[in-house]
Amino acid sequence: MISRILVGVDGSDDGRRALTWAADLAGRLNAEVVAVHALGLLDRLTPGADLVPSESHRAEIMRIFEQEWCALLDDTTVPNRRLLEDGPPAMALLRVVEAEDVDLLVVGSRGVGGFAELLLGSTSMQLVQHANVPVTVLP
Amino acid sequence: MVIVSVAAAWVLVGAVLGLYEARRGHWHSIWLLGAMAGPFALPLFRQIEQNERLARPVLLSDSSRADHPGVSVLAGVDGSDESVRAARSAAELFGSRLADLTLAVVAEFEVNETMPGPLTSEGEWAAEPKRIAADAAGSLSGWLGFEPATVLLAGRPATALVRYATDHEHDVVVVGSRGRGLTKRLLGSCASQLTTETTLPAMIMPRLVVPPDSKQAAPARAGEPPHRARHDRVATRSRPGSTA
Repeated sequence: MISRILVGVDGSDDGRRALTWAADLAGRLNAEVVAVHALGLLDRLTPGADLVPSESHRAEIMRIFEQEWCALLDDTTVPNRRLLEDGPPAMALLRVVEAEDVDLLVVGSRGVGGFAELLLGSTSMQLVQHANVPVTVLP
Repeated sequence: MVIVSVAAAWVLVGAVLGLYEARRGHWHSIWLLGAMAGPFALPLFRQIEQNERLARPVLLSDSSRADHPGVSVLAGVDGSDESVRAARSAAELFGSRLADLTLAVVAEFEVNETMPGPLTSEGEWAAEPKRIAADAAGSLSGWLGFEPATVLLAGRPATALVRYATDHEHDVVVVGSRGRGLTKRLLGSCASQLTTETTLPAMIMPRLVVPPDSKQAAPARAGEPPHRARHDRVATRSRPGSTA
């Protein structure tokens, strides 16, 4: 049985759908959700906004990620954690998969767009190719 | 000389179009048909696909599972051990929350009982996909404790799987990241097409490191991702609350 589900969250609609689906599944399976946002060199404070240097906005990005992008987790009884990880999304997610003994990885098929490090689109393909756990891709 | 050149070009164009179409989900020998049709091969193939769109999936066997709440899974199988293991892994992951499991074999566009004409398939053409479905169901039923449903679809694998899953309200489509079957239908291309095009949750099972002929059914934890060692040296981790 699935006991821990890892979800890639980047503030995009696809990322939110992935989180919604994972939270719903976790509720049905009594599993834990681990939401991860990968902090690159540049990041966006809101989807579509200009890219800003991540490091100087780390605290703000963390707050937005925790309180806004993951807000729907607050409305559930699903046990969950929110991790801000440094590095390109695919690498960051794979690293957490290894470290946290994850059973299932959930990502949107496309992300917020823009630079490659922010594209869940290419991220989902990299994860499908390299992950050693099942990857569920949400439309 | 001119006639010979034109004839050669006719055959060549049609055959190349046919080979391309075979990769898109058509019958593997369709290049012969293409060679005859020449430049008119493409509209001919599209006509076949339009017929496929009107065709209905063929339910080969129904599930023996009584109504059960939970996650409804459609798994693509292609005759490879990996595809069967992917279906089994999905059943393991959902455990007691597995509502039902349907195994789908996706055959060429031409393999469909509703197709008119000489390529009508509900004879020997469908024998191989039917055998694949029956073998997969047989190897899983004992472990599952019920008979999974089996269904024969036709066309481009990713499209056919998603369409059937949508029409029959499956919660998730499951495929192996790579196929190896005799029908060569659920190759890695199916997993990559699902990854980019799916309109339903698509679960891609990891490539297995155990040999294909191994008796071990459980997916082994594969080796480390190729970039992990290099990446770990430069990466740092932070947790919410720890650095804010």
